[in-house]
Amino acid sequence: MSLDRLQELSSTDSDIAPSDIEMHGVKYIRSEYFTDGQRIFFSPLDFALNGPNDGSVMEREHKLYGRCKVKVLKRHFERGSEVPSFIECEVSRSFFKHKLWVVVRTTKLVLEKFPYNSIRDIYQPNYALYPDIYLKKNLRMDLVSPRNDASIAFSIVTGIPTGTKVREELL
Amino acid sequence: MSGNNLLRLGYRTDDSLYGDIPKEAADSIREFIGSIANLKTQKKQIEVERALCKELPHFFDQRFNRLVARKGQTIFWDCLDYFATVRFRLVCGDYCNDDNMLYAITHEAVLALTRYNQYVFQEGETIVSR
Repeated sequence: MSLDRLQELSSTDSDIAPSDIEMHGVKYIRSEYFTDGQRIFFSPLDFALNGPNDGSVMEREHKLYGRCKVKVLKRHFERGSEVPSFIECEVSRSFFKHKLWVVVRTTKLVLEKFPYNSIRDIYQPNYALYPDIYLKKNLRMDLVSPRNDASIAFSIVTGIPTGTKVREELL
Repeated sequence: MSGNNLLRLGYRTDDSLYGDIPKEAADSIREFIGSIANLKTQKKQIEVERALCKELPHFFDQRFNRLVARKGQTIFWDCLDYFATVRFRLVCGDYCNDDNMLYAITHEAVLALTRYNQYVFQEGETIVSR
C-alpha cells in the first residue's frame, strides 16, 4: 500500500505527512538515505518511479563486497501504463557482471516471461529480483536463491532487500 | 575429465567460486557439494537423499530415517546463505551438468534444517540460516 493510499484511508486528523511535497516548483518525496548520502529505495515500484533514468549508473562502496554498480538498461512498459512492468539492469562488481530483472508488477506479460507460481509455494516464493541466468537456464528461484551475487549487489546499491517479493495482484 | 559426472573438475579449487566466503564455511560447502560430484547425470533426483546420507554422515543426524541437520559437527548449517551464493556461481560457471541436482540438494538441506527446527525448537523458535 502506498503512503498516499494509507493517508487516504486514515482519519483526516492523521499526523502522517504527505508522501510528496511541492515547494517552489520542486517536488520532494519522502525518502531515507544511506550514511554516504545515497537514496534508499523502498520497493521495486519506488525504484521504477523515482530511480535513475535508463542508461544511468548507480554505485556504492561496501565494506565486505567492495564497489557495486547498477546500470539501468531499459524499463519495459506495457501499452497504456505509466508504470513499467519490469526493469532490465546490469549489475557488476569487481569480478562479475550479471543481468538482473527487477519485476515491478504482475501483469499477464510478466507471468508469461517469468516462471512465477499462481499459488503461494513456501519453498518457491515469487521474488522480484530475478537474475537473467535463471531465466536462460529455465530455473526457478527457491528459498535460498535470493542470496546470489546479482541480487546482493543490487541490494547494496539500492537498499531493496534481496528477498523482496512481487506484488500479487494476478498471482 | 570426469566423464559424465555431475560436477566438472575445478569446483573445489576455483577461487572465483569462494571469493569473499570465510574459509571454514567454504570448506564445509565444498564437502557438501562434493557429495554429489560423482553421481552420474542419468541418476534420478530421488537418489539425492540417499547419497547425502551415505556420503555425509556427520552432516545429518543418524537417529532418523529422513535427513535431519546435525549441528555441532559442521558449520555448514550456519552458512546456508554462503552456500546459496556458491551455488549461484556454480550455475553461472556451468560447473554442473544438471543444475536441477544442485537445487535438489539445496531442497534437501532446507528440509533437513526445517526438520531440525521442528524437533529441537518446538517452542516456536526457528533457525532458517545464519
